[in-house]
Amino acid sequence: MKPPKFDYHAPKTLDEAVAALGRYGGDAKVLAGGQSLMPLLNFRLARPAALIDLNRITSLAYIREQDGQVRFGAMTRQRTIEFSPVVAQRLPLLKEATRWVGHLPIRTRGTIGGSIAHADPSAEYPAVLAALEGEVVARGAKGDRVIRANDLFQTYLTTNLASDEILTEVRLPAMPAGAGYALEEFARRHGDFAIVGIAAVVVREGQRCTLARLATAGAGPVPVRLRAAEQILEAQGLGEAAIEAAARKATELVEPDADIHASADYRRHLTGVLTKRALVRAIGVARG
Amino acid sequence: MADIVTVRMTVNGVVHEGRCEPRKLLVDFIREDLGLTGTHVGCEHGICGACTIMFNGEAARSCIMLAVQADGAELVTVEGLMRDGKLHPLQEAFRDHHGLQCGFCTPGMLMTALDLLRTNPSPSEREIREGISAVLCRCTGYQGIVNAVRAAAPILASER
Amino acid sequence: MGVNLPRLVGARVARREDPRLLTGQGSYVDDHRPARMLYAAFLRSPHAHARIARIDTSAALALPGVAAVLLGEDIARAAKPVRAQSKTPSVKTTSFPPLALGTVRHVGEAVAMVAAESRYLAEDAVERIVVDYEPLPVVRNTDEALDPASPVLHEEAGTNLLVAREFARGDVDTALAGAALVVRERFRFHRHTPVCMENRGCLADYATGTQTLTLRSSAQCPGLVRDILTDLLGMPEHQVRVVATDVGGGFGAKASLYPEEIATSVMARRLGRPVKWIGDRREDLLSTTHAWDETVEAELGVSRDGTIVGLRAQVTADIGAYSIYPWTAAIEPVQTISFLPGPYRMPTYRGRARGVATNKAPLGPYRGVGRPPAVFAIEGLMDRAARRLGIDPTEIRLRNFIRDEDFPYKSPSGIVWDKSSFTGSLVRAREALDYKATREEQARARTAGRWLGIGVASYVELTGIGSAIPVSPGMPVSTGTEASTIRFDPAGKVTAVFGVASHGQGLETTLAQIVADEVGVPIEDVRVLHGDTEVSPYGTGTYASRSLVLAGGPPFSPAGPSARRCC
Repeated sequence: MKPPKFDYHAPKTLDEAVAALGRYGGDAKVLAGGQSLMPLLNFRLARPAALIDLNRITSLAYIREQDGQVRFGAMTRQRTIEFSPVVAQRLPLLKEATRWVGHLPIRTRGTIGGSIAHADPSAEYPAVLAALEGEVVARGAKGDRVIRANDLFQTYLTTNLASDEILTEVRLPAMPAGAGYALEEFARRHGDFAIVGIAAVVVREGQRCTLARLATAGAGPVPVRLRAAEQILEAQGLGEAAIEAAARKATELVEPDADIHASADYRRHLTGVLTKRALVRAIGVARG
Repeated sequence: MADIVTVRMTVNGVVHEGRCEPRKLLVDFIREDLGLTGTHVGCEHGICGACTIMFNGEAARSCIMLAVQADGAELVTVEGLMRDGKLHPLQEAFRDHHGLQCGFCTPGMLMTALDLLRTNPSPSEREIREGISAVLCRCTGYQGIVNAVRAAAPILASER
Repeated sequence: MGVNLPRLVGARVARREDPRLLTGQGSYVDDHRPARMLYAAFLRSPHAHARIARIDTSAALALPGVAAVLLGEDIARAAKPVRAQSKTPSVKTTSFPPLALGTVRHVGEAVAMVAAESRYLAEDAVERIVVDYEPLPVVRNTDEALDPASPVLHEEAGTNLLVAREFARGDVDTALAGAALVVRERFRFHRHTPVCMENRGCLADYATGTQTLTLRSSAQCPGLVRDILTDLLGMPEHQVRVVATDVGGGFGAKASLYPEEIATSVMARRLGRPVKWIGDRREDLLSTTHAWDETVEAELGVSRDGTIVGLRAQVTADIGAYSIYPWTAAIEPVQTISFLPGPYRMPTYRGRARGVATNKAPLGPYRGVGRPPAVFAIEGLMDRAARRLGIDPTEIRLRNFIRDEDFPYKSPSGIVWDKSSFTGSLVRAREALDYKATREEQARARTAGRWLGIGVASYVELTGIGSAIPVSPGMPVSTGTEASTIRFDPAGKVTAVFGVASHGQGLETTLAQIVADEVGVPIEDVRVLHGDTEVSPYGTGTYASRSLVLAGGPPFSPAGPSARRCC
């Protein structure tokens, strides 16, 4: 399985990259970490006229704190995120989620921008973006725009990025100090995509829940924010009954598909089980 | 937009230059253009880990990289592990603990284990198992490999 | 001599294969790149069953760097068709063309072969071959295959029932009718694929000057491949050399002759250049022989005390589209039905084996060949009988084992168990587990709401298959023989050459241990060669747990004393 022929560009600046992308009128693919795109090329399932390789644009790899957010250049490696002290402190949910992404050698090359632009609803990073209400920055011929998480993901492997746009930055609001968090995932083997995964954040004041966020991986064509389940916790607190009610509500909020890995019913069942587990663990970690 | 690109990379401490199509996979460049056949092709879609090499000091899957992406990089392949003609302690440990049978996954297993031990010098058994689950082996049942990595960990840690 | 050397057999010895395999110095078939080598790629059928109406290779041939494109007719002109024969009339032979001739019978079947300057170009060329397929009704499973309304996949066989065999002893119908208890079960084993980490591949080099063909292959049985290639290609045996290189796993999947080996040899001979084909993972999953796809329906009759009175069973295997060489489509179902009686005294038996053709990849040998399904079935029946009768599962087995005083014991399928420690093994296992105490622990855990399982299974496995087994169905393989050549050089170093082909078993080490002990030299002075028909004495290869038994045993007793005299 070898890739088909393609034109290859490795621009040194973002502007060159956008210009190159635009020249191909939608028939070029952006190459970031390559951990998803290269297998498609090797299978000849993707046959772009050109590859625009972003790996030489050093200005696209950074982790910065600004305006209460942590901002990641799109080419920041998952491995860098895994070992970053800033992430450990400000976005511990993202650090935990990163350990579930494939295996370490995958994370050596895989990027945060690539993972989110690829928009696999079974992947961890899109779920975290949804749970933390993050946003991305995209640059196209017409300039930059900011896209919120719930506008970005359209369906399987599809974002609302235009064919001439490159995702350049991922912005996540820093988690409140003392927030509880957990990523619970079920997969047959370690390193597989989640059959279902739940990202959870809770902020507590005593037994009260001042903030709850829950998002799914693998339970539909896009990550699903389980808002109605969050509201149960924000209204009823963090006791056992509220957790059970939130988990039950979670199963009503998803419309999973069936595939060779799991039936829709099983995914729905997992959504409930993992919501409960994630909440219990998140609450256990929360201070307040 | 050339049909053929020139790539220059340092592999196991030696600078190499070659010319290839941009679509040429890094693993094929290493095996064919550089003649270093120790790195193996198992799946060509980043699942099995047999093609794992060190890329700028970190384990990466060479079957899902392009050779042109390695221009200017420093690579270490399995051929580069020996020290002064003697087996690397990790290789010794694999030998002592029967961590290989047919040998096909072994180069990928070694590079992955090396990266694991560099990032986590004292891994628990569970962490070793999680770490080596990146590479598929059909012969050993993994126990010999786990034993080898566990045995090598303190030796490598003491060298730092 | 006179040096008192410690015995190596039974000692812990570092493997001699390891230094090269650990340092990337292995020699797998893809590691070889002779000068002027071309790379091959195959066009494979996307249809499970279809007629080929037309193939247009002109666009592929027009691509720069493409040396040749071969089709079924080209191969048929250069090589005889592969036909796995059997003396048994109810085992039907099929013709297995290396490239499809007019009809494709499974997804992944090779239709065309391209040789080009790189694998990348070869795949580009494969994409440019235009094939007009006329899809035919697909036979998806054994039920459909046996339905008279379904298409017959091989006209000359006249039926999709390619294998039918029966083994019987006594009157099992009467025995079961009178049994205190009959347990019945239907066991379904789904299709497996072996997934060696190294995909199959081969490299053929035809030297026009000497008219010799060298085939390097990821093969378990180089001797076997050499023998059949000489027949198919019409070449004298001493001019065909097959070398099994370092091989990345076999498990039985690489123990048969494959279409690609024939096609690559033909291509190399035609072009006068070395041609290498290495399967990618997708085509390996599609075209390497699959395994264990069968249903076992069985009835075990027992007396009130659990003693077996009879076993009646039918094995129906989905053997895919072709009967493979040399083992034939019979190998899986016949092995299953032959070993179903297990290590038990079997006063009456009737076992029927059926092999049914479908539009799937051919079935072949894999890790245990029939025995894993057989063991699962009989042990499952024994457990069910034990539960129904309230007998301990180890007790029911001990009551039925072939006893020491029964040996030699001929099983209903004709296998003779010479001396085996069935009873002794289970008794020892119970002691090692402290069985009584473990059962008590299980009971205690159950009352506390914890479920501990204790599983028991006994099986008997044959290794070092004697030649009676292939001879009876007329298989052209001599499994029961091996040969070795032991050479001494003037400095007292030993080269030991064998016809086996180690692919992970460590035979270079274990055979060296044996030779060193027998001949009386340090192990460092022994070099073991194997897997190369050019240097090996006649042999088949490494499969079915035979190598150490056959290669490591008999050759040495006579050699020992005379070898010591030479040194």
